[in-house]
This record gives sequence, C-alpha cells and structure tokens, in this order.
Amino acid sequence: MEQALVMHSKDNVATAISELKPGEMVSVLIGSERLEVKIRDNVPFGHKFAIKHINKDGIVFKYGQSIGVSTSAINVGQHVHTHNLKSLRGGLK
Amino acid sequence: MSRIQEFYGYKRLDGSVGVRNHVAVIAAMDNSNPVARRIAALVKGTIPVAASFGRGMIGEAGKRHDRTLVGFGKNPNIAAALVISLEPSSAKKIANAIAETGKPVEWVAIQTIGGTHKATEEGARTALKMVTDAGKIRREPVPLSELVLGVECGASDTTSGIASNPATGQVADWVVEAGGTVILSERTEIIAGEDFLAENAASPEVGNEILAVVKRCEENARRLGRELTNLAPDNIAGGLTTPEEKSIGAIMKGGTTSIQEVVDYAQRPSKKGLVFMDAPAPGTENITALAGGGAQIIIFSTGVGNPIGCPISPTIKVSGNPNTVVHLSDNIDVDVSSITKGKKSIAEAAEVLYQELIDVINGKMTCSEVLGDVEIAISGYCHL
Repeated sequence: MEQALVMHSKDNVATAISELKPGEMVSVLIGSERLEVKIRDNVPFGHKFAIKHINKDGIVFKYGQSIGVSTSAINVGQHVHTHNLKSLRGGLK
Repeated sequence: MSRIQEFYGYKRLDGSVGVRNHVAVIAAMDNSNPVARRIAALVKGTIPVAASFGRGMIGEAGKRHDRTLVGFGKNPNIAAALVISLEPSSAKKIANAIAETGKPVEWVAIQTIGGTHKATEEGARTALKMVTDAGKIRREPVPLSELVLGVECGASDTTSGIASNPATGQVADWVVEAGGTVILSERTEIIAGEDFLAENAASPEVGNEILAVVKRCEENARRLGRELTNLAPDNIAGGLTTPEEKSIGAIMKGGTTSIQEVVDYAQRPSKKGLVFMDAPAPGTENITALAGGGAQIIIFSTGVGNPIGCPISPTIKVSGNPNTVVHLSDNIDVDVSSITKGKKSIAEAAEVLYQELIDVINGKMTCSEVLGDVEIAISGYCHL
C-alpha cells in the first residue's frame, strides 16, 4: 500500500496520501524504482515532501514540471509548502 | 494489454457518429423554453434544450448563443432537431444551420402558428415522427477515432490533481492514441500552466494562441478590478502551494499529448488529437461549450463532487476522493479512490475509467442521465 505518490520520474517532491509523521520511513515508487525516505516533519494528507535534496532557489518539480522555486534549502523528507516554496509566475498571488 | 478501440454508434449523414440517438427540442430563445419543455415532456425520446437569453442579443454574445444552439443540433448524438422560437426568422436561422448536416430539422414559431397550444400540438406531432424515425437507426461498429471526448474538472480538491485528473488524462492519451479527439478547456484553469502547454503545442502558432487566451483572460480580470488567482485558502490548506501546481494538476486531465488547435467556445475542432477550447471553467457552462463543439462524451473529474451532467453528451463523473465516492455515490460513476488509498496506480485506475467510457459510449447510461440531473448554460456575458 502506497503512502505517497510521485507523479513523474523527474520530480523532487512526493505527495502524501496518508498522514506522515517525523521519523517514519516511507517507500515511494519513482517510475519502476523504489526509494526509501525518512520523513522529517509532519506531512498532512495531500501535502508534499522532498524526495531529493533541493538547494535554495532550486526548481521544485511535480508532474515533471516546475511548480516554483525553493526559498530555502530543503532536505529529503522535509515538508514542502508555502514556508519554503514560492511561485515563479508574476502577476499571480 | 490491448484496449478496445471501437464502439457501436449511430452513423450520421455528415460522417459523424453519435453515442446517443436523441431528438432535440431546441428553444431558440428564453421566451420559447416553456413550449420546448412541454413538447419534450409529451414525447419520450426527446430532450429539451432550453436557452438562456437569446432575444435581442448582439455582438460576440449573440454569435456564441447561435453557435452553441446550432452546435447542439449538429452534435452527433442528435438524430433530429425541432427548433421552437417566438417568430420565424430566429427559428429558421438556427434550423437551417443545423440542416447542413443532412439530419431531419423542423421549426415552429409561436407567434405565427397561433400561441402555446397550437405550437405545442404541432411540435409534439413533429417530434413524435422524428422519434419513431430515429428508432430505425441502428448502432454500427465504428473505430474509436470517431470519438470526441470533452474533459472537465469541477469541485476540485487535493485528490483531483493526484488521482481523478491524471486518470482522466491517461484515458485522454489512449483516445488520442486511437486516433480520436480530446477537448481540454477551462481557460482560468490553465493560468500559470500556459507556458508548459504552449511549449508542448503542435506549432509555435498554436502555442501563441494558448498564451493569447490567458492574456485576454487576465486583461478581462484587470478590467473588472481583479488580479486573477486560482488558489483559494482551502486549496492551500489541502496542500497546494503555488498557482503553477494547481494549474498543471488541472491540465493533467488533458493527458500528455501536444495541443493541435485552439477553438472558440462551442466551436467544432477541425483537427484530431488534443484540442484546447477557450471557454470558462464553471461546470455547467463548460460542458455546454464542449457539447456545442461536438463532444459526444464528457469525462467530468471531481474532488468534492458535483451532480450536473450535459443533456446532449453523457457526462461521466470520476472522483478520487474516498469520502465523495461514498457520500455522493448517487452522482459518481467511477471511483478512482484506489489511487489515493495507495492501492492502485494511476494507470490501473485509468483502465477502470476507460472501460466505463467504452460502456457509456455503447449505451450504458451515466448517473446524471438516469437521474435527469442535466442542464445547459450558454455563457451570456463576459465570464472569466
């Protein structure tokens, strides 16, 4: 039973489909390969966490596409949301 | 695995193929809706097409109104059309345009025939003959390349972007692979994802048209004193962080192929493959535009749930929200919550949705068809 979904093999985030807690080990399927990720924050259902290290100002990929840029370095297993990810789209709030 | 790539449909004289065999009773303007509804209530096998406005409409709104009503009549799911209007000129305008398809079309004008009772009687007699004649048309095997699938999402939530939209997109890719057409729409849903769509378009010209759609939409919003945003506080609480993320999640329902063409509201595509229609996002308005553009079938992806379907084009509701599929089970045709529960992959759940698509185009009725939860809303004003 999957606990998180990776939408595209290029992605550096996964979406939780259960409530994840710090310290929990989660296995995510990237294409046909599995990756073990240690969760570092509380990650609610539907929220994202990093599955690769993301540098500050690094592009965050979901669906194989850029969904914005990180505002700080994000470690594997950390929650990715409004506190560390911002839109690159001007004019939109 | 090999997927079914044909269906049994009703061949029309213009070469199109219907998945339903309805007689449409179309009101050319709002003042004729009661007569159209009355005729449809008297004659089984008909569907009433009630208009919004229509009297004295000018400019783009008038063109859109006419194009949509004509598009309904021309839709392959319609075997014959009866047009009801207040006076002959508006009735003839719609009827003559539908008649280009070669299908039976008649009209009744309430003013000239002598009021409600006479219009109803004449209309009901005509509709009776149309329905009995339509009954002689048999379903025949045709390739899936004859299919025009419209995709829409409404009442979206966190599950839409990870389950029902990607599953719909996988089905869209399979329809395109089989040589069919898929219409992606909802201009406000592509804002912040337009660069990705434009880069992936079939040509730079098509890409520029996609960018122009979004630009016009943003300019209209500014004229109304608004800056467009597609992210609501409940979206953010649900885990969506940026407009790009929400848009790309919405765009997923069109699949991964290149956009071949951009068409106007209720305009029939001239190309096969993935097509973008410049139409507003609200559910009823959007499925109205898709049916007007010739979609025989619609997949409506939903998170929280929405009951509405299109009377002309069967509307399959798919949800990946485990609560919605139980709580709104009356209104959901396909449950893909196996994705959000971690039990099935998107591709596995998409097979279930594809099978439902095949069943419905072969005659299985959708929840909204059975319940009669169907409605039409032609955009009558500047809607974002």
